Amino acid sequence: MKRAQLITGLVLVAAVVVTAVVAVFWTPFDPLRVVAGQRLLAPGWPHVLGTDGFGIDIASRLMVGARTILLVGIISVGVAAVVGVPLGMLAGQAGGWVDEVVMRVSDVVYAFPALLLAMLLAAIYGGSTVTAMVAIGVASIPAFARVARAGALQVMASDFVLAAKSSGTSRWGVARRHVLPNIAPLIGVQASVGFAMAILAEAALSYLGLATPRPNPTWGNMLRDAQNFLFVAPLQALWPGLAIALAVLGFNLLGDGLRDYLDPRLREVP
Amino acid sequence: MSLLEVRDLRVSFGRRRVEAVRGVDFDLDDGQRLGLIGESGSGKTVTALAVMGLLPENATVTGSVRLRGSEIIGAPEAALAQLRGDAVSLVFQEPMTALDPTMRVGRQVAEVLRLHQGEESGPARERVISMLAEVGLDDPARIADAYPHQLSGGQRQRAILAMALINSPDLVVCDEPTTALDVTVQALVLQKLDEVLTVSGAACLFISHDLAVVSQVCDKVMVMLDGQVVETGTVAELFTNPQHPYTRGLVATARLDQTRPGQRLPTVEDFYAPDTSVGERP
Amino acid sequence: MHLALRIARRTGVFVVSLLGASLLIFLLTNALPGDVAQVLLGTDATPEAVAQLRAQLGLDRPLPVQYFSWLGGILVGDFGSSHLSGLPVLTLLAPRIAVTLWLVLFGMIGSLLIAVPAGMVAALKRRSWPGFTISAAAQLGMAVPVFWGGILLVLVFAVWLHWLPANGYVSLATNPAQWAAHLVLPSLTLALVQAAVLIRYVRSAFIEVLNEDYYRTARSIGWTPMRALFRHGIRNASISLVTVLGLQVSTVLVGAIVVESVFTLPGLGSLLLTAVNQRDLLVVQGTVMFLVLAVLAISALVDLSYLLIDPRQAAASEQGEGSA
Repeated sequence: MKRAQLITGLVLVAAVVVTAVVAVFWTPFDPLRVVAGQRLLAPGWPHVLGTDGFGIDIASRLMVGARTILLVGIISVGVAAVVGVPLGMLAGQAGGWVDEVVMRVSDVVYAFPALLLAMLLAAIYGGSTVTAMVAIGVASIPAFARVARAGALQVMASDFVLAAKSSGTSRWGVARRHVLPNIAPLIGVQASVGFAMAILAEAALSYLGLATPRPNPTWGNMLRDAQNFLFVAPLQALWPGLAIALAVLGFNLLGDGLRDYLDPRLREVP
Repeated sequence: MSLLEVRDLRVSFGRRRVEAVRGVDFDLDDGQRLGLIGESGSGKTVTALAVMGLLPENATVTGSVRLRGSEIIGAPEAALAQLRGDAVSLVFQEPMTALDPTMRVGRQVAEVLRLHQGEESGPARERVISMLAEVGLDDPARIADAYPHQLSGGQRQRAILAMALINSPDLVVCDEPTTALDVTVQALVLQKLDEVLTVSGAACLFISHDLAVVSQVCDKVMVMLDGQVVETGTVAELFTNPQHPYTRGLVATARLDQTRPGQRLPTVEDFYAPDTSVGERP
Repeated sequence: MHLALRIARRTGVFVVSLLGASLLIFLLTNALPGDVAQVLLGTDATPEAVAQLRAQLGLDRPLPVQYFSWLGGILVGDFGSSHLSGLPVLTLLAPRIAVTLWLVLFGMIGSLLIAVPAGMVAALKRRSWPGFTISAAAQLGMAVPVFWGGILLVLVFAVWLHWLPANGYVSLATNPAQWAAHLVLPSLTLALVQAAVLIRYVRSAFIEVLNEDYYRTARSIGWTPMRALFRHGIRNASISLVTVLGLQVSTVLVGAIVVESVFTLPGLGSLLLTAVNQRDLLVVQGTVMFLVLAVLAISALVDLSYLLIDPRQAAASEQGEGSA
């Protein structure tokens, strides 16, 4: 059962990644060029999923959307990890008031949903892929910091760290050689789960028009477009949403599966 | 027909069929007090749970357990639920965790009446308070309105006793009811148990690892070892003429006060060495 | 008097978090590259107009002064004003609070009505098909974006069945039946998505109850598994349930904002969105501050509500435990 979870997750994630990579080089049709006379075609051939209100092939737009989603996910998770993990390690290793301060600040940011941050940024700079990435990245920092800190605390209490410290290893050495390798699996799991959240956040932001502007396709803004034609071409609303759900499901299952696989003791909710 | 008839009861757990009870037979008549003695892992608790139909899902039960002629094993849950709290009730070992911490004690005791007699909280309260007094609790009204964490272990166990007896069951199954209590409180609770059982005329299946404790409440005793009954007899018979070596060990350790000063205290192992080739215990 | 101490402590945490959040919002708006006045006036404003606005809004003062001035305003209820309409933020928010509140309220109640029974069944039948199905459905539900969920519901109930309106809002005072009709789909959307998250926690909380001795006691007096779980499980499981709800407050808020957009409900979310699109920076700043304030306040209240649910918490604050 647990293995099935992990495998399903891997398959779904792989599907998204492969689609995104392929989309860099090729899509069946031009995802941006308006084609008169081809509007709102039902699924069939050659447009497997039909065309949208501008006559553009939906499948091609979906593929490009995968590219954007992946980009946003990688950057925002990357930012969150690069900033959050060292902060969390610092808090866990140093303890005392450093820990207190880091965690308080982290809690404040944690209370800030990515959406609100993104809205603030969009009000100043105008919504774009960049503002979305920054907002999601910053909003995800506390989660990574928390995981890194919890892991660091566990490692710091273990015997081999005590041995390392008493043999004179510097704090930095302990961090690099003992804490980091041991919390890496935890971070990996958080990265997968964080990726899923980033996808959902980006989708919501682009649905609201606060992320990648049209005509560039993202799964979120494709749904917004589809909503305008809901009574005329209902099927259009199916594909982007399905894509989002499957991608998120994939990363969630991957994260859960990794968690169970790496250390059964870490399982939080059976 | 006896109140309780157990024939060839066998219980095993899990896919690997780890055997906990390996063929137990006994009868229990109305008003009779039967003790079931054994150490942890002997299968005594499992036997008690089997009598109530409360074994977990992964248990495989064969044999027959008849309560007033109705077969317990394999009976539908609805039928069993009717019997529990009405014909048979159960008192467990851990008073500290046996009560719902978010519910007042009186209300929990009244639940039995509510469930089986349909009595509402108002009239039931009088009965609850008088029952709490019967089990020897001072200021029963205050106890009824208290939450479990406000009571001591002995008080909680007596409240549970009240809950078990308030609906006049035919059979009360007690699984190590005093083991978790202080010695002085133990004596008090046992005395009260004896009293209320006599008054209500209920039968009792009393499970323990301590022969001295069992002898205070029961007339007849069964000794269980490794899932089987190895000896049966009255308390007097067991003390004067124990047959099985394990029983002899139990008797010796029940009478520690008879050891001469300077002598080493006896242990069960002096009389009976456990067979280490027996399979795992669940 | 430990109880008072704990209330004071939690309130303290609330205040500190609030200050921290306000600082964050202020810095994001004012300390990042990009001039506030420029943004408000747009790209084709003359430099003189920008300079004039800067002076008018006090943007030439040192940052700390600006911050405390803004903070002071908030304490007296002045969250800033719209540059476009001149109206104070609170005035703009007032009529819309009710809409968002209804949505969140019905959404949360709906999610509990779905998640608690589902979680109970998932716990009781965790080793058989009903349990697996419910857990899988919850997993799937968590992956569905809330706006897609809304669109699908519109597809089924508005486009296909014509039972309910696809968007819009009618106030309670104007027409209760219409008001209810317009709130059903949005609330259901929010409820379903929230329920998917909650089911996991409800399930594990009830599984814990199943392993407790007091559950066994309940079974032994004659309750069937479902009823024993219901009678004794709900109150004991509600502690962890309340914890989760507290953690979910900001998620629910975000969900509400998105749902308002899907169904064009005139709530706080749509105000915010419009302000963002119009670059009405001060309204955005004020509204975000208001929303964060609400989230933090609700979290604090949820934390404090533990003392009501669990009698042991209140008792632990009294002198010593119990009597002999």
